[in-house]
Amino acid sequence: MSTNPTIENPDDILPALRALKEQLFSLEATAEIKKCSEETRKAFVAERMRLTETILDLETAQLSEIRQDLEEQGEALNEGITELTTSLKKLEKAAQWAQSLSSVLSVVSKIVPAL
Amino acid sequence: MSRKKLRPPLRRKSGALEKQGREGRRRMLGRRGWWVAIGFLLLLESGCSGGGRLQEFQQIAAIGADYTRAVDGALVRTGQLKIQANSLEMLGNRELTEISRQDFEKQDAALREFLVELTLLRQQVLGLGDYFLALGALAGSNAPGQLADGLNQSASSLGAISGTLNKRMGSGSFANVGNTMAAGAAVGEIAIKKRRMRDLQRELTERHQIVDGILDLQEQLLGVFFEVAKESQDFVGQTAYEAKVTGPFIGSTSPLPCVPLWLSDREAGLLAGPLTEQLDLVIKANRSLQVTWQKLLSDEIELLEFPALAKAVADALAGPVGIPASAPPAYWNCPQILTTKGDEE
Repeated sequence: MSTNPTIENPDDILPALRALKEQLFSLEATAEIKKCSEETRKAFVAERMRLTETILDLETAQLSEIRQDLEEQGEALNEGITELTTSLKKLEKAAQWAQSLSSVLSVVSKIVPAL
Repeated sequence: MSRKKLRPPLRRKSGALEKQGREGRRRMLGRRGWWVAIGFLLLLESGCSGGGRLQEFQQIAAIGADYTRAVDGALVRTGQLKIQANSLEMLGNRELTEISRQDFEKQDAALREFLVELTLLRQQVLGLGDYFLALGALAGSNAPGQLADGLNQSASSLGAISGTLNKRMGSGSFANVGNTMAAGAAVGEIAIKKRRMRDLQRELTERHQIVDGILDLQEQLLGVFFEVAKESQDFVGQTAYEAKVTGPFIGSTSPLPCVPLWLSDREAGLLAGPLTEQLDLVIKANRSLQVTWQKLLSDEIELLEFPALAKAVADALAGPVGIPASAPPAYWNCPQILTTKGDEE
């Protein structure tokens, strides 16, 4: 079983809670609690579930913070995608024009000798 | 002594013939001039080494797109492992006491919030992938070649048309148009390639810091997911294996509830590839990509460096080498597992 980590700053909270959860879900703890009364087991399980929910909430908050930063950058990135796509369309338009011209002239070149 | 009469000057040629001669000389000079111009431009293009730089853009775009797929895959697997770990926790809780609907739904709600956040993050990751794809599409565009082909084909057609018209009209005045277009094809191809390179370089200059910032944030994100994956992995790997495989097996000779399931659980438990190792590989790929991206901006990158980056990303995509587990047994192999309390009564 891992030793309890000390909490010196907010970044230590999540590791500390995870370490606590590891202890509460360990085989030793589970074996001991199985010997206790129904009331004790109920309270124990309630605390375990609350701990799991707290850890989930903290992890979600951590991810949300990073996600919001990414979204801010994402807007500028979308501008880049638009500009790159516009550049590509302009190039392709020029190429398309040349291809269309070649198709038209190819037809004309077949018609002219027959006139 | 009579002076030899000076020979009179040569009679001037007739107007039409002279005009033809002048035009012929002009055409020849014009044609030669065009080829000189094209030769000069081709020399200029090769001297600018635009081709190598273009390849750098293509390479990083392709590798960048693969990298985002590796990150996305790692995020998805972490989400799956998180659900698995939470489900096993709830099964463990259920073994100790009855769980109310309210408590079960609270767990579901917390897990759903986590998964919603994960989904939104995947969108951001795939957004970077779209950017790399757009970069690659511009860098790898065949538009210059298509433009040149189109103009060259047009030149041939014009040549055929002008040949016919010249015969009819008895003049050579239509010949220049086809030649001009052929020359224009080469010039046009160079111009469009330069434009593409200019647009790519401008894009890199304008948005290099944005991409740099995103890669840095993704490195932080992968760090968070590493811790999440480690916790889930430890629980699923050790606790679940103990509960499903070791625990039921030792200390008793009673028949196991479901042998096929026990066999499958043992195989899966022993062969399970650690997700944290894959996340390690993705983090390494992220760092390599950050370095390469910086080098691309300062034009310090060499094409020889790309295979190493491509390998780092390919390793991240493939994950750690392992043996795949067989498919679990069909549920009907273990009817006892499916028996509910209601059925028993």
